[in-house]
Amino acid sequence: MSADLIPNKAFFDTYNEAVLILSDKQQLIYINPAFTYLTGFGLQHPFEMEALAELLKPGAFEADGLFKNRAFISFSKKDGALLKAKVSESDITLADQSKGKFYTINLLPGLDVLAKGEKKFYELADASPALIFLQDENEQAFYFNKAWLTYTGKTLQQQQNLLWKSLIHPDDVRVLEELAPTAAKRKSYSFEFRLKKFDGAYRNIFAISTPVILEDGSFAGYMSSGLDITEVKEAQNQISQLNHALKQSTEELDQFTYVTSHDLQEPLRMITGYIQLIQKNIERGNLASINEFMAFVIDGASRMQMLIGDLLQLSRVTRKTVPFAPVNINDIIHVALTHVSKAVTASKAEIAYENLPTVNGDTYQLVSLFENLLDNALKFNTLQTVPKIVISASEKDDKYIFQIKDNGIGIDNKFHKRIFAIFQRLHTQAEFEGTGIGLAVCKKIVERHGGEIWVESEPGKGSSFYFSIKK
Amino acid sequence: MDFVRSSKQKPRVLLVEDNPGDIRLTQEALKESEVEIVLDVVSDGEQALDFLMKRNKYTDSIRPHIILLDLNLPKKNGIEVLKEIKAHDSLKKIPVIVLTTSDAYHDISKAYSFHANCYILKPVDFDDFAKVIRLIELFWFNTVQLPNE
Repeated sequence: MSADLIPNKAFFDTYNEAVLILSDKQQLIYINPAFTYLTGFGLQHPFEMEALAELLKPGAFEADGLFKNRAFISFSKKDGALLKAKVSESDITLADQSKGKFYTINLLPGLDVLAKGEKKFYELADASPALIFLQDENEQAFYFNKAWLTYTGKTLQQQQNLLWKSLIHPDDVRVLEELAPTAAKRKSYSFEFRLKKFDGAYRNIFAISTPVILEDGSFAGYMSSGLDITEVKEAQNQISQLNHALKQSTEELDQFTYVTSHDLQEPLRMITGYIQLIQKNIERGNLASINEFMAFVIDGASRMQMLIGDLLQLSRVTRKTVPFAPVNINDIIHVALTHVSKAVTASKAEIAYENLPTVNGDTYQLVSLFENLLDNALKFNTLQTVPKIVISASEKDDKYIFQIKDNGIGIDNKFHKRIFAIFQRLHTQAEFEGTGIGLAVCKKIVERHGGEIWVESEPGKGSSFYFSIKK
Repeated sequence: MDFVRSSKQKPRVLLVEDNPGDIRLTQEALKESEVEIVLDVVSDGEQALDFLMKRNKYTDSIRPHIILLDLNLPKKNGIEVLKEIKAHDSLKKIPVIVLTTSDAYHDISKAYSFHANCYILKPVDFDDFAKVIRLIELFWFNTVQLPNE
């Protein structure tokens, strides 16, 4: 019935270009035999009307800036193969005087050549594990291989033209836009972007795009092929992280060797120097200062012993051997207090703590941590005051924050960072004895437990040492 | 002694050193010298600057002719002290002799880049130490001309 509306139907039936005609209501009313030959679709077959309507929708033609009545389209043949064609739109007055649309469809001349190898190409592309897609000269994507569609969990129709870009991570859309000038020069280029996989996770894709140049030298678009490099990238990140850690630990070791040799030499120099001095004085029969000089020798030897002991402690912290286990901090402090009991008794110190939480950690190291902090709180005190130490804990996000508050001499703000570095001391041996290793040990232990250590203090107003530990 | 004749005052040395053993050794070594050298001692970096700038408990201090500076000091380390001395209009004229156990390249290089007048390693041996002290004395008080201020 509708065929009666077609003027000069006999002409179109024998016309060697594919023709189709739509009524004024956008209904398909005619397909010529050349169209059926080209596409495999006939009027009597279930035609992909939706796809066709999509292709020929009003506005499609305005999209082509060059010719108002011409568009370049791609569509699937009945056997699934893709066709690219040039479509021209014209008005036609139908037999009942209504206005219809008349379309001629030409395979693009160059693509005709491509079409010969086309089947082979699509077979290969579909067998490839790489994510492959083709874009026409107007940057409209018209083909995605099986790997791409499986990867994204989308159908060809859901990816065509510019739809595929919705799967790109919003931050990476810019990457593609920046490549546009390169693409305009029709050169090969490579790029990286994050693509949403069917499971919803963004993965890193590395892709190379090469221009498709037809036999006649004309440009027909880009062929892009990408690989998921997420794992490679993760491994790379891991390597650079490890590298960074290694570099840091080498630097620490250098620093350690430097200060250790320096600080161990000091007492050794004292011992050697004073023994020689004693010898000299004995030779001269001058015994007046011998006792004084002997005291320096003994002091040097005991300082050396102290240093070696502290260095041993530091090296034990650096070698993490025991797996973390839940430890109750009340128990830890109980043990630490037995280690500093002499100083507690001598100073009559008051130490308060209760209801402290259980954390995941290394018992030995945590005892060491509290022992060092308690030792400092007891030591850095004027003789006139009785040391008062309060240990408490609070929760912040995924961490516990411990506070060790004392009423000692306090620390000037400008030294708050420095005290945690190895061998950094604020006092002479005559004022307060020590090696300058204790807080370096504390810092190491806290860092091993995924936390931070810091101090809040003012001279004369006591100190509060804080450290965080992951719950 | 040229220096003593011309200035009519005893040569003064400021020793910046935190180790009592080293202080005592320096005193012993100076005992063996021919002239009487007045030795002032401060035991940390802040005290050294207070002494030189006549601040806090050092308002009566007397400006030294030379400074013997250890690098490893509590509070302000030797390099920081050196930096401040050499940035000071008047104090920068006082020769600073770095006397330390560190033979690390970066310490030596840093000390000279902050205008240390010389850098001497503390010898382990007492005789060598005494020799170094004598050489310092011989060079800075008998050989060179110091700014007389």
